[in-house]
Amino acid sequence: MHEFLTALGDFAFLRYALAGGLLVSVAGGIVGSLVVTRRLTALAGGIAHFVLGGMGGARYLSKVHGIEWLSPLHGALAAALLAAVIMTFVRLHAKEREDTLIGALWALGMAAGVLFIWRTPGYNEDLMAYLFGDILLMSRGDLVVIVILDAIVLAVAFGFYGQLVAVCFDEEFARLRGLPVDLFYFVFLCLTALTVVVLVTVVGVVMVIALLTLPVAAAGKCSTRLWQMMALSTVFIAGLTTLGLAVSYDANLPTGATIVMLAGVLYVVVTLGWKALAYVRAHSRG
Amino acid sequence: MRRQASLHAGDAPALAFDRVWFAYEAPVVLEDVTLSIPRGDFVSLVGPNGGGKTTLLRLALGLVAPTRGKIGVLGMAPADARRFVGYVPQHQVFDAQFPVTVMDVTVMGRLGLARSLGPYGRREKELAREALGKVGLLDARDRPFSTLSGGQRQRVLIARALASAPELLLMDEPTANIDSPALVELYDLLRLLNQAMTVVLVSHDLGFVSRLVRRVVCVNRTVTTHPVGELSGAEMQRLYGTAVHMVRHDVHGDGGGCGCTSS
Repeated sequence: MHEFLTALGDFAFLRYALAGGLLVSVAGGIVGSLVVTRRLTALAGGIAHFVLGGMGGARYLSKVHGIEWLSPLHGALAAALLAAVIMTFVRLHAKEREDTLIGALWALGMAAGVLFIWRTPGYNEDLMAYLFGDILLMSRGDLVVIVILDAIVLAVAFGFYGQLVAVCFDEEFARLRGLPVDLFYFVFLCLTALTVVVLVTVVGVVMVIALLTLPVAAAGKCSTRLWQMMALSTVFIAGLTTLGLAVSYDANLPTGATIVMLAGVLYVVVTLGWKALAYVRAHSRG
Repeated sequence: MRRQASLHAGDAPALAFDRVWFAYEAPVVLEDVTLSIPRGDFVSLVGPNGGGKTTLLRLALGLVAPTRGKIGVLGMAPADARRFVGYVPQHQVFDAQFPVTVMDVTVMGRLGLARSLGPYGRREKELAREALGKVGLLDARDRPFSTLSGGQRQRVLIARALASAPELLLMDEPTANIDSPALVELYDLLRLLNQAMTVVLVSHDLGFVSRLVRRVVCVNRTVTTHPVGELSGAEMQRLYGTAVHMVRHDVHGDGGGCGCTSS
């Protein structure tokens, strides 16, 4: 750990990575809580994989067609929002099975990403970074994007907390009380899409769903109100990214995978701990 | 008995169906339904599963539109009447792990009636506490919703509906999965509430319903209305489960046409 702290003073890229990990925790904790309580984990996974198509497409356009300002992050944001629009449209207008469509987006996004990357000259190391994340590539521009997203997510969560609880808990009742439930759903999917994109920069397309759900599920065990779940999830994600960064630096391991593994450990420990606590309570009473 | 505070079309019935037809796809769910429930009434919709009870409720709430015919709720179109209608869904449909307290659930009843940005105001919370007091759960307001019994959850959902000060209370299967002491409490509560508002509930439990309501509406694709017969508690016990005998067929010429069975 001492080694990591010394390096933190020496290397700007490590400081960016640390800041990035702390900043994504705000959007991740709040949006993750909504995704988990509304049981839309599969949808978030579908969006995450669809994003690969956008990243590959943006890189292809920038390298092959010389549109240099276009970065993979731009492509990812565009693809994620497109997925949110498609999913909302399908839910409201088409009578398709939602889970089938999620699967289609999931696979087609991956296929498009692979084809674009194949056609783009250069090293395939980028593909690895997209798939498994590389928090060490975090740039100042990425940090700005994450801060903006955090601000939007916080504004929505504070401004519409009561409505969000109602829509997640009982959508039909919320509709009967006159809430624009479909609009909420669309905004919610857009925020999910954007959050997925920033989490992809940390842990990659394949593992993003772990960071969006494991800390949140652990937080849910110890929360009796939605805002507690959001706050605790944020703390958990911040702790996991920081610890993951430190451990992976000291032990020379890939950061994304280390963070996700720690998230898994946290989830198992909290779940078992909670069960043990309930057991002890039940037996100390009787 | 009846509350006079109504702001609109005071004489319009609480619920009026005029030659209403409804079909989701091919098979007709409701056929030529005409029905009028006056204000202050206490009515149960009974009938077999798939007979159209829930559809009737959803039509009254404006969640689905009739294929043909006209529906009036408190003299308004169903969607416009929503803010005067308290809806109590079945309590088993909720995610047991959802992190909300009793108070969180109850105050949802104030949505759409208060300022929409930011947290709930003091007045909204006060009205929610009042509603919880009415159902006897004020002391449980900070408990997680998930730790309550079925009967308690049911009462929280009633409190949520009451928080919006409704003129018409619509309840879907309030007796499902509730033990008998809780049923007695529910019975007393609904009787009390009926003094201030019209109550319409969907129920399988004809034993419960016939002691409580004034009229029973049998829904099985078509609809027939029956006044509840003057039956004693002992007879009720004996007849429990043979519900078809518990309601007297209406005198208005539709006798014998009821497809209502004890389901």
